[in-house]
Amino acid sequence: MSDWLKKFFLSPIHAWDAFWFEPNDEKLRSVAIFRILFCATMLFFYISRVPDISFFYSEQGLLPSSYAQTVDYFRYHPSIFFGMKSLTSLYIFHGIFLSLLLMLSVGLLTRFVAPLTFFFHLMFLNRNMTVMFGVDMISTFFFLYLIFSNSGAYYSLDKKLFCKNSWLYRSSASTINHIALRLMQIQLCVIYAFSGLEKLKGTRWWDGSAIWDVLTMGDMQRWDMSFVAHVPVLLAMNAYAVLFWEIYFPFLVWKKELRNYILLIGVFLHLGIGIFMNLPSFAALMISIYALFLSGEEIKRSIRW
Amino acid sequence: MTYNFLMEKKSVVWKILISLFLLFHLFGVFLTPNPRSFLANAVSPIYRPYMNFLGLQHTWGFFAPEPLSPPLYIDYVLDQKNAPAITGRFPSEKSPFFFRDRQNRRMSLAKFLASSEDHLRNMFMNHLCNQYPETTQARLWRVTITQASLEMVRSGKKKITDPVDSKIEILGTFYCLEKNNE
Repeated sequence: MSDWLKKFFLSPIHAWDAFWFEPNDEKLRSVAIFRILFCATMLFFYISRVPDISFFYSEQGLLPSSYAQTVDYFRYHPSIFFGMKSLTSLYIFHGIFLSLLLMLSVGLLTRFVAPLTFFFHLMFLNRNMTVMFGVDMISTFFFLYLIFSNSGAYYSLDKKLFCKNSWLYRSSASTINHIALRLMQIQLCVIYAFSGLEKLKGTRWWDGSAIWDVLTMGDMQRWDMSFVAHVPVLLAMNAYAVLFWEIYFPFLVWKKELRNYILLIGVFLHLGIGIFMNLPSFAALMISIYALFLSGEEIKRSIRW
Repeated sequence: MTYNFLMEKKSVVWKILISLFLLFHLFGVFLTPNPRSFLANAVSPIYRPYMNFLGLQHTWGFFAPEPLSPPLYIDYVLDQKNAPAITGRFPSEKSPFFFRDRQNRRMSLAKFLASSEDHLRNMFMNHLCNQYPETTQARLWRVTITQASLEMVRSGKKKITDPVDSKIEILGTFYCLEKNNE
């Protein structure tokens, strides 16, 4: 009986320990691939922001600092760019941010560049939170976690340029890297779970007409897809599939036998969103996160292929 | 003694401390997306400042609870001192940008602006008055556009891309005060 009790109380502790505190060198490959895909996506995404720097972030633009400081919504999110009068300085800082993203994509001085990238990312977001949308929000979490993950261990310039395990480059995994990886995986599950559960509150998702509504959103339409009105069953099945997949993703993705199928469905779903709703950066961002669920062996095999 | 050395030792004390921090962090990650819950309300002073500081205060509800959130535009007529009035719509109905993300940011901005008279006056009007220095006053409207229903498209009366209705609400008349005073 005492053995049973001991097992009953200790097994969750052992499971917790194994989940968070057992680093695996092979997983560093997944983190490295994620870094490349994620940062390259974000680099292109933030290049598109350059023409709007003045309009969104300068004192002459839409949100003067003097007004931002009076609104609660902005007050709790400080930024070094509040009060910055020189437009040239803003462009220079944005240029630095883009350069950091490029360095992180190719894995140059990764350990030092990651915290700076997160800092500048947050400062730009905080300067004008009214122009933020999904990609900005999701990426904030992953920029933060990248600081703690040894993402430059593989497929990086650091690996080519610096000695193994110098202060500039570490080739092995540590507990802190592993924790960062776990937090990134959990974060994706949280995003899907909450998106799915929120949808359950909506009547349109229950009656299966939600996908129609999405396709008719005037500002997101790319092509005339009127033909889908003749196959309402397909629309309803799609809506239920999205619901089912989002809600169960956080459970099924941890099952080794199902993981790749679940991720593959996700890839198709996001490609669909990217192509038909004209949201390519959102699609690329979400798909890049999937690399974190692949094993080192799978990454090696894919790269060889 | 470096942090890594401590990590390698995996001392029980460190594991407990890190676990406590992880629990705190995860607490924030799970509660933040549901800010109106009793639990979130009760404990928000503990985790909110931490989440806000790191920029992690977001909720997740893509196309939820209802996907239909008709695009919102702000129409304006700007009366000029010595010239005909200027009319416009923010943002433009069809994205003029190569990168769709630029339009998404403007759509999000338009919703924020139209949510309060203060935002309209201090942000949108401030911008318009700077952009068109001859403006004396501006009349603003909120425009939401409804698209065709499934039945309409099925019966062939409309295409999916056809707008069927515009809801126009008056937002008010605003003045470029500083310019007038000059």
